[in-house]
Amino acid sequence: MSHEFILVNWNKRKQVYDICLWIGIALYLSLFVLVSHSRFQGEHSISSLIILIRAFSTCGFIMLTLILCIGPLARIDGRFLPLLYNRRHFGVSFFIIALIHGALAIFWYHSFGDINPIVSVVTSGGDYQSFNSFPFQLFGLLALLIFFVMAATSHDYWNAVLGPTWKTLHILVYPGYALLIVHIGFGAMQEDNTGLLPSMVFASVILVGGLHVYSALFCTRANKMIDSARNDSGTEWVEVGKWQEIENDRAITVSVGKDERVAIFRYDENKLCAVSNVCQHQNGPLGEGKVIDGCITCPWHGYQYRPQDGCSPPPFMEKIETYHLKLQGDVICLNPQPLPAGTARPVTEIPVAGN
Amino acid sequence: MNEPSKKPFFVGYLDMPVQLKRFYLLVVLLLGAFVALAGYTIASQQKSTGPALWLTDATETISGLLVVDPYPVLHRIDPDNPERTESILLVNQGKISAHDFARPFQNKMVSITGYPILRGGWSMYELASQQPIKVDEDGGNETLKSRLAASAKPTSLGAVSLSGEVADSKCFLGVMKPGAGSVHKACAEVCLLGGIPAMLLVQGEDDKKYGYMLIQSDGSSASKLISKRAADYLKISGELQQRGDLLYIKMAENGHF
Repeated sequence: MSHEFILVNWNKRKQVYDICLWIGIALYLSLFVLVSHSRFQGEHSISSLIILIRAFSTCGFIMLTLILCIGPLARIDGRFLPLLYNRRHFGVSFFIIALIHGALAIFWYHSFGDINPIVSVVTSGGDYQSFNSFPFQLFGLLALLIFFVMAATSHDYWNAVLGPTWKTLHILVYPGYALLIVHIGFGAMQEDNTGLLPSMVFASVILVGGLHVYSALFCTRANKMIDSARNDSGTEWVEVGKWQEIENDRAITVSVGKDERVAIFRYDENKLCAVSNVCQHQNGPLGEGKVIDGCITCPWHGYQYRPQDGCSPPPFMEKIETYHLKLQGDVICLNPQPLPAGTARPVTEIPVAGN
Repeated sequence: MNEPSKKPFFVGYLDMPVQLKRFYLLVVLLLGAFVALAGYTIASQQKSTGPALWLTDATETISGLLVVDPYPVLHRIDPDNPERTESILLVNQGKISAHDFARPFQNKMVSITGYPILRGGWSMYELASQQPIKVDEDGGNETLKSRLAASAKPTSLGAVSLSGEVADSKCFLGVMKPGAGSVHKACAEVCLLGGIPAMLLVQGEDDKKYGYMLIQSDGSSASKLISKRAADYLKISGELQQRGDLLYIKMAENGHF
């Protein structure tokens, strides 16, 4: 986590991530180019630029598929959370690969003529009423524009400035993916008689769709649902379970109402606190986090909040909503009325046996 | 009370737990193997577009009779067989017709300097950037010129109706490989708009592709007219003509294909 905005926020973990990522990209591209040149030589060769266009396009598509799998995989199995940690750099790297593909295609297919290459991208290449000659380039360009906006705003600065809009903006990755499928379907897939490209696209859609559906159906983030938890005055106390159900330094998550989730942590063995489940950084699920060095730590990017008041330790300035708790015997009771972000409230202590 | 969880908890700015390090060693190895396999497999599955060459290392110079319309073509004696003539299509650099360069040399014996583009029995020259066309100083041999002019005149071979893909001849003959098909459609359209000779590619029963130059019913270039249908599979009817060793289809009705 950081309290100031710098252009690229790297640490050792992110550097290792990026090195592995770019070694993978280099491995794919170099293998593709080498195999293409060695298998197709002399008068049977394929144009070098077309080999590059194909290498970057397939590389980008595989990258986007992997990017879209990371979110649900991390929900299904927490061991994949480190992949999520630096997914932003993965996304920007994907955009760079897609941009190179687009630039090469525009240079090779749309340049050197009497018409402006960008105008050619928009106006040439097809008939909207014909399946066989649908203008696939336009869909690729639209997808690229979406990915550009995402890459350009893929920074904590924009996250802070845009607030909730940022999340909405980045959900656009799904329309971008759909546009890319159409781009491939009406473009390269029309010429593929090996069945490889349709198989690739089909596998990607099944993998991405399947993981999203599975994680949505079977990996709910809330341990408990509390129906009609809140009355009009917001002062009704509701039982959420016994404190023994909560592992030390960990939390259970309860849903109150339709969209609100509360994380109830136990820390220092005998202390309890309730905070919003939503991290202020990128809406990470704090309830899946852990208390480290006395602070609630988000599992996504390690943003931290003090249990007693929901404020990030100085110099950081993030704040989350807090909730009142009380104990009735072993049972934890929650007041589902949220307190303003950063509000301190008395620590709820579990009586030590014998006292 | 719950047992403490054995699940490792990852924080990006702290050391990675040992269990996760082992897990990620496996993940990285598996992803590396997948990436290598994908790169190899996808590259291997590409198809050759047949033998074609674009010789760009050095220019070559050839001589013959230059005919500009409907498409610039140099007609010359076949160096391998003096009994027959050879017709070489001419194009400018980029996706531009050679009409403007060639127009001043209409029906003259000239030397052409350019880069050969070769596929099967077809030959094309992309004009060099410096003085690509020069008039032969001796004005050429009149007998030879007459022979070439006679060869270049259109000979009707009757009515024909053929189905095939509309392509730009420059890319198809070897400048781009592949230089036809739906992915290449926009490029073909730009080429045809620039006046590159239009061609109908017909798949023969022997699985070879046969190319027919397309011209309008008034005998002029059909490139711009047909540019919007680039890469489309069309049935075209008209009069089949031979000019030199090139076959042309003089389309029956402009725009109705």
